Amino acid sequence: MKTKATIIVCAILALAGGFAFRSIRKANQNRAAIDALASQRAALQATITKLEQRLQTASAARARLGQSLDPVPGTPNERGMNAAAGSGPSAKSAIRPRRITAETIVMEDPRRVAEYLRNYCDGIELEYGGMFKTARFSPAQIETFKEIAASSWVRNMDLMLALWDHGLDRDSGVYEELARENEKIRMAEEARLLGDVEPLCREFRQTDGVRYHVRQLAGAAVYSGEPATLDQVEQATKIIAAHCERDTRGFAKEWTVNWPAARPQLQEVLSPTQVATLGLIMEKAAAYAKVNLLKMSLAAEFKAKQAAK
Amino acid sequence: MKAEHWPIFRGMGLTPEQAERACALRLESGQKTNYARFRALFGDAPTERLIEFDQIKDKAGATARALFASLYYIDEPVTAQQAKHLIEIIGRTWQKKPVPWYFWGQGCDWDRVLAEAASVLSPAQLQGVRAVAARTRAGEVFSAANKEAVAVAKP
Repeated sequence: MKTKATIIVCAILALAGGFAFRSIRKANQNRAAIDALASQRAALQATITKLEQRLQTASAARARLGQSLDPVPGTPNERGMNAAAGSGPSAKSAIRPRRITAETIVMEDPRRVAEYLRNYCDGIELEYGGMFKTARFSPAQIETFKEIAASSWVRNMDLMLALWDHGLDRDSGVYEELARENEKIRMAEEARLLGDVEPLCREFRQTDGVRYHVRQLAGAAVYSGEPATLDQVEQATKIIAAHCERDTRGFAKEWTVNWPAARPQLQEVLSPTQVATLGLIMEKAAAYAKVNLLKMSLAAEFKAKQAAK
Repeated sequence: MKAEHWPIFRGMGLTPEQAERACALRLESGQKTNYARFRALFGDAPTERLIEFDQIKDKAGATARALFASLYYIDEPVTAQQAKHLIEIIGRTWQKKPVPWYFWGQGCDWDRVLAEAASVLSPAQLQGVRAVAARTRAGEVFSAANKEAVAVAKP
């Protein structure tokens, strides 16, 4: 009788244990599912935030364009795909049939946008590798920096397409104004990420036009056999940028370099051959800039004449 | 022209004055360099190097220069031997692209370069080449779209 009771108690305990184990396992599974859903929710939330930001930029651009432009003649059908989205100020704006260009084709296809951005981000060190090293970015900071750069690129492309829809191009003042607003968003995002090193990174970006020419010394090493190190490139960039004029946004205008003033300082960080080579490179850059400025002024003159007719 | 050639002539062992003169000679003769005159002025070795440079300058040499200019941040300067090998590899993998380029690397098959240069470049330099390959793929997204846009525009 005692043995029977013991067996029953053991059986009950085993059953209870089994139930308890099952419940714990189920609870663990639920917890894991909740965690997975929470991380998905966070990812979705981030996507929603990005999309909202993109929508805000596009809406602001449309509203701004709607206020600043006269309507273009044409039936709604002639105005193309964006007419359907028009309401409020943008409904009255000068929306034109969207031009079919590489940019419009890519931006209207999320798969192509994703492919472009994935590869763009995979190669981001080509632009910012020097900055990542100098400011000692952590791998996590580099990843966040990539996300910020990708969002900024998408906003810029949205802006450009919105301008095209209104018959404007990148030379227009409206584009500059809107691009500056976009730049502000990116800078605010970067400032949050970068903290103390933000001024260093801003200066890196603002002197990148100079750096582009200086790093050609590293390319010239293929034939000259005289390598240019990261430190040499950064120091030479600083010296040249200190002898350049800056634009209103703080960007160094490399074609304005005062070479006679920069040269003696460069001799302290570069070899005589490198200084001479860099002198020729900067001379070439100045010549190109002159040609471009001339082209731009002639184009503006031509446009003004056409408008006057 | 001078910015590109002067360091090359210096690398060939010419003095700064000779390099100046060589640049002037290049400018005078335009596309067709007078190698006999170059040889008479500067000797056999620089002339042979100039001929070699001319044979590859339009594609592989320019691509290698752009590559190492972009990878300055790696801080592992290219050696003469590495440069020579890489120019040969790039030359072999060069492909003609009928569409406009959105990135300088688009003339080259970087996957092949990566495979063939694995024994020539350091791991950090190879990582840099991978970045170039990625940017090339990004450029190709736009090149393909451009091709479609041109096809649509044609009546």
